[in-house]
Amino acid sequence: MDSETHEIIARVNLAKKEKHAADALISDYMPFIKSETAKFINRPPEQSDDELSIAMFAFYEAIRNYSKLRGSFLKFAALQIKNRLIDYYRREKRNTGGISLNITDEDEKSELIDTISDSRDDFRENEMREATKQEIAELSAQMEEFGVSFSDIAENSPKQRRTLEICGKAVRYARNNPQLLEDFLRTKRVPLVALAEGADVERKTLERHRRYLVAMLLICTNGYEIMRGHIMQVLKGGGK
Amino acid sequence: MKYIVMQCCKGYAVLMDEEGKYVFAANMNYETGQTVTNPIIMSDNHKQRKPVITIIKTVAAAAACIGIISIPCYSYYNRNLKPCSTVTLASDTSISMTLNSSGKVIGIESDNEYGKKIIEKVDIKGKDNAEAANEIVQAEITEGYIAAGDTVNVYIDGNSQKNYEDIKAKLEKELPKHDIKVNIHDEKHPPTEDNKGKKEDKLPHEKPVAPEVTADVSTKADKKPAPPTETKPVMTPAPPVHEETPEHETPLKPVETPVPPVQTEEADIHEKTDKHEPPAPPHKEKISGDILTEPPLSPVVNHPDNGKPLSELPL
Repeated sequence: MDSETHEIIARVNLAKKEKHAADALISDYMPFIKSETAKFINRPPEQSDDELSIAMFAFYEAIRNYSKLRGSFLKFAALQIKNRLIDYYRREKRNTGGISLNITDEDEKSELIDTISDSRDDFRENEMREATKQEIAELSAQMEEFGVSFSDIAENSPKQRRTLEICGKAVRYARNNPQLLEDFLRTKRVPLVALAEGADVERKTLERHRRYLVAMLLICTNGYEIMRGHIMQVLKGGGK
Repeated sequence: MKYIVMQCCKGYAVLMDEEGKYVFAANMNYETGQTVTNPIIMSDNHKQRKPVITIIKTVAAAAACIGIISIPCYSYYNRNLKPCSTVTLASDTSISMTLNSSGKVIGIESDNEYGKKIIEKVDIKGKDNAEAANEIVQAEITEGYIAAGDTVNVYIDGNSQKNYEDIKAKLEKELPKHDIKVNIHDEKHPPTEDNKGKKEDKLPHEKPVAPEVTADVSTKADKKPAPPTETKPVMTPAPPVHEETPEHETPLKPVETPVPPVQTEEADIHEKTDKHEPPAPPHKEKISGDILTEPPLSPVVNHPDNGKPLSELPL
């Protein structure tokens, strides 16, 4: 019993650091996650159920937030799953009162969704998604050269608005000075001093978010037009 | 806000919003490159709290709880349970009532057996002081400790003058209903010199003190003259005023003092001057005014001839 407990804790600690270990832990404890979800929805969850996705996400949160002070890991994870599912249902409850698109009409011949004209261009949308996917793959490959992943960036991303604005200011300064971006790509080092002096921001703040700046500066270089379009308000300085 | 799905993993997805912020979110069967709205984002408040902050918060919460509980309790104690004043009915049964700030009886006790018997017969806890005193007096009359026309001394020990006045007013209104005389005294603020004699006279079990002081002074004056500092008790303490003493007679007046000490001193001084002895240093406060009419001789400090040689001085 003790050895099992120690093994779980060791795996949780490893999963906090490594993405693959986290994925492996989630895969191994999938029956546990499904059983906790089933307790809540009173039926066995299917793979496409939103509840199961949320339960898996809650399990991942439990891995990240767990410490020995919180007691048994599985109990802690079960509590996290339950809380997340309650939050999800409360959120969904706010949207009740709408009509489902899958409701059939009186003759039960067609669904409501079939009667609504679809203005979306699915082909164009798929094309756009593919292009975006390609850009992301390229960016991911380029980021590996700098030794960072998207998970690292998500962890290193500024949380406060003030910090986000400081980083945005530095990114804008780099975009207006192509020489800096060229040096960045050549040396594979973030020019923190030049950015801090040029953008008139604190170097310490930039140092704390170095990995985030790597991703943002790479997006500012050539080849990532879709992503640049997505974060246009940051690059133009039109943030809230 | 729109998010681009940057990475999809087993339990989560990494999204980038339009402000360039990267977040962890639940992977609701997303695909990389998909644009999503309204995802379930990992909240920051799920982070582990620091133990020190937790302890500080716990201590602060406990202190706040104690404060919230103790302040009304202390207020209630002050209002209802804290002894504020004492009323003593001094008859044969010396009964003391302890009152709270609103004048209600919170305790009752007596030193003697008669009092304890009365206490057993009355139930006055929680009652107003006047009502309680009324009941006690009624019980004493019933038991025969006091009769109509008797005098009952009441001693009030209040925490303030106002408190004393309030209790006194109530008792003065209530107690005379039993056809008894009531003398109310303030224990905390004893009477001044003027009415001290009167109070002492009213106190039971006390005898008037015989006037001894004047006799002592006369004998001392005959035998040995007192020094000037001891001549002050010319104003000998007045003997206590008896009930028969008419009011127009002031008790402070020295009646039939055989030899006033002042005369003794003057005679002594005359004897000393006859013998040509150096006079005693004048004492303005302690010797009679006749002797101090002329001030003592003192050297002239600012005389114009000061500093001149003897030969130049005028004869």
